[in-house]
Amino acid sequence: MAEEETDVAHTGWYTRFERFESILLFAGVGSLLVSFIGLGLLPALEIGDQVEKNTPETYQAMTAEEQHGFEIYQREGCAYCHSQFVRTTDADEVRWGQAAEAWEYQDQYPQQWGTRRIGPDLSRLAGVYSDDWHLAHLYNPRSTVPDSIMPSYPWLFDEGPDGEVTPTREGEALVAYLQSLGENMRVAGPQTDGEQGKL
Amino acid sequence: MSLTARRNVTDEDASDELVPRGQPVPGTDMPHVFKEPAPIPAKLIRAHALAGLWLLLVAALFGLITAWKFHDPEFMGQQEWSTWGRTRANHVQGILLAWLVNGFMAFAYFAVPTLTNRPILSERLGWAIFWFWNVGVVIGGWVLVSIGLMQSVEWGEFPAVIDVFIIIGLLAFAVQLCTPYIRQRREAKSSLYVASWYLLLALTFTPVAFIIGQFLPPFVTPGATGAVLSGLWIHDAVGMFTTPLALLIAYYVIPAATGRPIFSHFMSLIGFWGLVYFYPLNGIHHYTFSPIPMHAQTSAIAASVAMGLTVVIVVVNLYASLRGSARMVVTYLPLRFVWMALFFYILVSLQGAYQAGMPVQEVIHFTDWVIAHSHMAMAGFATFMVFGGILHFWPMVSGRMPDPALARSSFWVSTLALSAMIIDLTIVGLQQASMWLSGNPWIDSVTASMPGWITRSVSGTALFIGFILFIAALHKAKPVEEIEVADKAVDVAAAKKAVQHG
Repeated sequence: MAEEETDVAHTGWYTRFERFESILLFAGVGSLLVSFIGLGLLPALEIGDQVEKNTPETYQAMTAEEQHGFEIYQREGCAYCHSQFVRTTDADEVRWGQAAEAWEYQDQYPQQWGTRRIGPDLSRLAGVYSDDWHLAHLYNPRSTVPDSIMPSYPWLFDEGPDGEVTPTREGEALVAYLQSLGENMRVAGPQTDGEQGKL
Repeated sequence: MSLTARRNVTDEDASDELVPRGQPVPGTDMPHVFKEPAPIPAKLIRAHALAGLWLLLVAALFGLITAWKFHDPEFMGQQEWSTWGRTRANHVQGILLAWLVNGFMAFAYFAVPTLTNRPILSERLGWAIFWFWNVGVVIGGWVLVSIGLMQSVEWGEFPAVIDVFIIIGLLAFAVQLCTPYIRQRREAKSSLYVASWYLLLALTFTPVAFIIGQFLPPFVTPGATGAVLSGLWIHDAVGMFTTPLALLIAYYVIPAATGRPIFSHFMSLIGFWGLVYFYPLNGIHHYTFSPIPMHAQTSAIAASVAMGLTVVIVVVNLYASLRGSARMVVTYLPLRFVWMALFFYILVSLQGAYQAGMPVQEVIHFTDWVIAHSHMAMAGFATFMVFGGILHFWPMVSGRMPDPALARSSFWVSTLALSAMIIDLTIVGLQQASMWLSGNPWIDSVTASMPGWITRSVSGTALFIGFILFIAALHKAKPVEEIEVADKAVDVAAAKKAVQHG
């Protein structure tokens, strides 16, 4: 291509958007406000209304022990491998059961939905296994599921002088929490006529 | 914006004043070349770069340990501090806060004095932030997560006390780097060069987004509401912090290396404002088919597709700026890393736009293909870009030329290892997706993934070796006589000549 002097200084209306204060105002602050209001605050308010409307009368909040277990669950990063919501897809509903509804999660600070499933979803776990199964599984996952790659959690257990293994308070709290997952849904059933989450 | 070749802007055109109409404007389509540039805090830049690189090895080691546990679940599994959940948290937070923040800040300290012709606010403040960040935030965060004080918020695993430190650090960086711009404003009412737009966006957006994402889900907004805000933050960390600062490097290094302006000012504008208004709306696509209202989910997916298209514009603009400089992409190593980073960028963005779509999401969400996507973004795009930036400024902040043979081998080992990891995780992810659809027992998807997980550990180890080679290249740097070091004029041409003869 020939060397031509075609370039001119930019003097268009848009140059005012290329100054320090414009970038700060329209990019740094403006987009934050737009995104926070549009896809943060508005859906949040909507969810708040739904939760208020849909929470069944039988709803039980977490007990103190379950709350303690919830804290252990977070501390060990369980949510990295176990999601805690059943999606509104056929495959999910066939495999795990009733799809998630917003009211089920109103006590979770912060929510533990997760973005990866290495192990199974846990949101419908209540009553599926016995407490003893869970304890054995937490002490050594390979004792109940031979091919499992879940870490073992020996620090949730005490070993007595005679070699007897007993769960610590933390271990028991974690099992209590796991046994509470999905209990509310099991008792009350879905509250949204299955409309929520459908296109 | 014409597509014909433009006149190069030389030192003669450069001045501190506004150029009269009708002349090319340095500072609009390429960085200024000042006759007497402002001093660059060379020692501080070297400290941030080296701290970042060594901490990258630690963060990558956390990742390797995490990967190894997939096929050897009892490996380092008997102690609390090294359990899988905590090494994974330390890996993710380490890559963002220990490696990328240090690397980006090193480049920002290098670029801002040249972009504004003003020194940074204070070198003493710089050292204070340096130690505060690396000891307080990074080491402090890793220790606290290891002893069991993890906050289970994705991309925000460091506990609340460290979050406060992070906000202080981010604000201090913002004050440090915005001050030269404010001082420049007083003297010249000019528009800023593209690289500066991206820098200012990241500096102002991130602290506020961080507060929203870190403090609302654990303390204020429970359940589904918290998920909305978590999603926002996950994507703001990648899109409004990592991406703009990586593009700052691209928009800076390309014209500085080739001596030619960016291809199209119009495309720069569209690319920037597209990122600004589409990227932060992507967050909810992490929670598709969830109890979050469906119209919010579909909006996020639409924004994801719009974002993919915006990235096409950005990358085409940057690649077109290299027209006629193909030889230099091969010979000038910093540019080679930047080129590769942009290649990963376009791939990862189109992949993300595709993965966000409902029918795809339905099948592949929760699988390892998403992990492939995140590694392409953070290791492929961001890490390669910072590597390119460090190689570019290293001669000018140290007077020494990184060893070209080691840097080249780092490039190839890292590129091939990362590509292997991405392809491997893609295959494994699709395998998992089909196993889950088939209705087989869950554990079958775990046993089927095993060969792929072993391959991931191997490719991850190779990538780790690539990082070590990069550090070795800096370590074996040789003095270059003809380069004058920072605090004085920076001679890009001499640096380039030395590289090409090296």
